[in-house]
Amino acid sequence: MTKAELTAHITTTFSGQVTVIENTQPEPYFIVKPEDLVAFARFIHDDSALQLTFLMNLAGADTGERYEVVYNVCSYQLKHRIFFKIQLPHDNPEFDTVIQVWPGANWFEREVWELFGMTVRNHPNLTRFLLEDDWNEGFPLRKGWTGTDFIPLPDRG
Amino acid sequence: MELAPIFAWIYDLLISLGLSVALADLVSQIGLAVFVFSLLCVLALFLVWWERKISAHIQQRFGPMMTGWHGVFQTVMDALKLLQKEDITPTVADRGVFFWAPVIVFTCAFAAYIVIPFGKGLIVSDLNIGILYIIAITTFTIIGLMMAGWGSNNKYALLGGMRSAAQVVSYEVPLVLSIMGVVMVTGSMSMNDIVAAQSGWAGFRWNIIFQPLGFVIYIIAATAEANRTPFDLPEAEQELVAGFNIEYSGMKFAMFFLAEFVNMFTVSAIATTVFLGGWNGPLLPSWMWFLGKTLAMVFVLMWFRWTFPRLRVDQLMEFAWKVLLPLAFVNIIYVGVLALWLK
Amino acid sequence: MGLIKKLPVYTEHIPGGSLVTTSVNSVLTMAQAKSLWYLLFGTACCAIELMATGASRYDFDRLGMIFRASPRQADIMLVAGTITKKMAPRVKRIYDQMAQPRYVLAMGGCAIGGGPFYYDCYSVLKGVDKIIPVDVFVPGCPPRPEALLQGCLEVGKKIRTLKLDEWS
Repeated sequence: MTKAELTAHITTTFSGQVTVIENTQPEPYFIVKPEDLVAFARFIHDDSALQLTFLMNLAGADTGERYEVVYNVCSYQLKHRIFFKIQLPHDNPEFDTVIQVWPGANWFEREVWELFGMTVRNHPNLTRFLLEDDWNEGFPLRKGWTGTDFIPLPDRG
Repeated sequence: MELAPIFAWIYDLLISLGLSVALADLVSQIGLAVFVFSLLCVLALFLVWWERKISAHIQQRFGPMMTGWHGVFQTVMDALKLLQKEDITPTVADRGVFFWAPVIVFTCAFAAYIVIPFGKGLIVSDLNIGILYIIAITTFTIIGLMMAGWGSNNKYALLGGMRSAAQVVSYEVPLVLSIMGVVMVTGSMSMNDIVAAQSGWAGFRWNIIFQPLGFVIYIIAATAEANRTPFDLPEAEQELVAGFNIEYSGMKFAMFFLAEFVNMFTVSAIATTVFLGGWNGPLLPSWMWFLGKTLAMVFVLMWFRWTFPRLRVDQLMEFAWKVLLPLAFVNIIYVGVLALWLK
Repeated sequence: MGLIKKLPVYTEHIPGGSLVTTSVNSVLTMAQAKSLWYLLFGTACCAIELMATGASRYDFDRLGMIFRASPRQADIMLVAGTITKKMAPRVKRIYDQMAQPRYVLAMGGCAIGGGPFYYDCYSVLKGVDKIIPVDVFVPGCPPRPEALLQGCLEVGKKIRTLKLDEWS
C-alpha cells in the first residue's frame, strides 16, 4: 500500500484517535495515545490489509519537553512500513509493553527503561543489562544528566 | 657422499683409542643420538620458518622478511624471545600434571627418531619391530596432550584436550591398518627391511605404486595424528582460543610448538620410508633423497593447511569411523590378494 | 630469567664485563623486537583495519608478528577500538594474564583518549591508558595500515632501548 493509502486506512479503521504527522519520508508517521498503544499494536499486527508483523526498532527519546517512544514496524508480506510514536510526560513516564504483539520488543523496552527511566508495565524482566553491574548514577540519556567524567560538548557559539 | 662411513670411521677411531667394544658402542650410540637430536632441532627451526613462508606465499603475501635474507633467522628470534618470557603456572592448575605435560609431548616426539632410516646405514637402532615402535611412541603423545588439557584447569583447555584425545585415538586405527598393508607385503616390521624391499627397478617397486589406497588413507590419518588442519580442532583459534595450550607461556609453550613440527616431520618420514621408497634413489646420496622426499611430504601437509577448511568435531569422528576404517579394511583385503598373487 | 637480570651485577666487577652485558642486552632485546606476537584485542572499527593490516596487502608477518589467541602467549596487546566502562575490567584482566615482558599499543582515537566519544558520552572510557600502561599510541580514526605498521616498528625501537633490569 502506498503512503496515502496506509494513512487513510489506519485513520479510518482504527477505533482510537491517531494523529498524522506531515513528513517527507516514504513512511507515514503517526502519534498514538499511550492508553491506545496495545490496541493499536494489535490492530496493525492483525489487520489483513496491513500485516505489520515485524518490529524493526523501538527507541526512546527525550525532546526536552516530553518523553517519546518511537516504533518502526514493517511488513514482510506486503512490503510496506510505518512509524508511530507515543508521547509521555516528564513526571510519570510509563507505558505498556507490546511483547504480546511483537516478542522482539523485549530487550528494546529494557533498554528504554535502563537509559531513560520509563517504566514498562507488565514487562516480565525489567532489569539492567547494558550499563555496568554497579551503576548507580541515574538514567544517562535524559536531558541534563551529568555523571562522573561526563564532559558535555562545549558551546562554540 | 654417503655419511655412514663417517660414523664407522669414528667407531674405529674409538676402538683404536683403546676403548672396549661395549664402551665404544655406547659412546657411538650416544653420539649418534645427540647428533640426531641436534639435527632435529635445526630441522624444527627450519620447518617453522618454511611453514610461515609457504603459508604466506599461498596467501599472496611475504612471510617474515626482516630477520636475515627472507627471514631465515625468524625462528631463532622466536626461540630467543620465548626463552625470555615469564613462566606462568596458574594457581588453580594441577602443578605436577601441568609441568610434565610438555615434557612428555616433547620427549615422545623425539623418541620416534631412533628407528627412522635417514640414509643407507644411517639408523640409530634397527629394531626388528621398528614400525610398531614408532606407532606406539606416537600414541604416547596423546597422554601429554590430555595432561595439558587437564592440568590447566581451564574449561577450554579441557575441551581441547578431550577432542584431541578422541581424534588421535580414532585416526590411529586406519593409520595402523594402512601400514599393516605394507608390512604384509614386506614380511618384516624392521624399517631397514621395508626400505630395502623397495629398492631397484627405477622406483617401480615403491609401495605407493601397488598400494595407492593405503597411501591416501595413511596421509589422511597422519594429518589427523599430527593435529594439522583440516583436523586441527584441538587447537582451533577461533573456537577454543588455542585449545589445550591456552595456559602455557614461554619455554613450555615453545616445547609444544616445536613438538608439533617435529611430529609433522615424523609422519612425513614414515610416509617416505613406508610408501615412497625411503632413501632409495639414483645419483644423489641416500640422505639427500630421504630429506627431499620427506620435505616434499611436509610441503604437502602444509599445503593442506591453507587449502582445506576445518572439519567439525562430529564430521571428524564420522569420517574416521564410517569412511576411513571400512576403506582401510578394503585395503587390507586388496593387499592380501596382492601378496598371494605376487608369490 | 632471574639469572640474566642479575648479570650486570656480576659483570661490572670484571674489566670489560659491561661489554658482555650490553651485547647480551642488545641480542635479547633485538629478539623481542623482531618477534612480537600480538593479541588481537579488536573491539570496534579499528579491528577491521587491524585485520586488513594482517591480511595480504600490508602484512604483519613481514615484521615477524603472528596472531596468538591466548594472552599467555602474546607479547603485545593491540588495543584496537572503543573501550567502554563495562569492558574496562575485562581489558585489565586480560592484560594481567599476559606473560612478561609485555607491551601495549593503543590504536585509534578511542583507545588513545576516547576519540569521537570524548564529549557527551556516558559509557566510554576516555583512553585505555587510564587502566593499563601504554607504550605506543597510534592516532587515527581508524589509522591507516601503514600507520599501524609504523606503530609496531616504534614499539620495536622502544624495546631496543630497554635495559635488562627494566623489563616489566
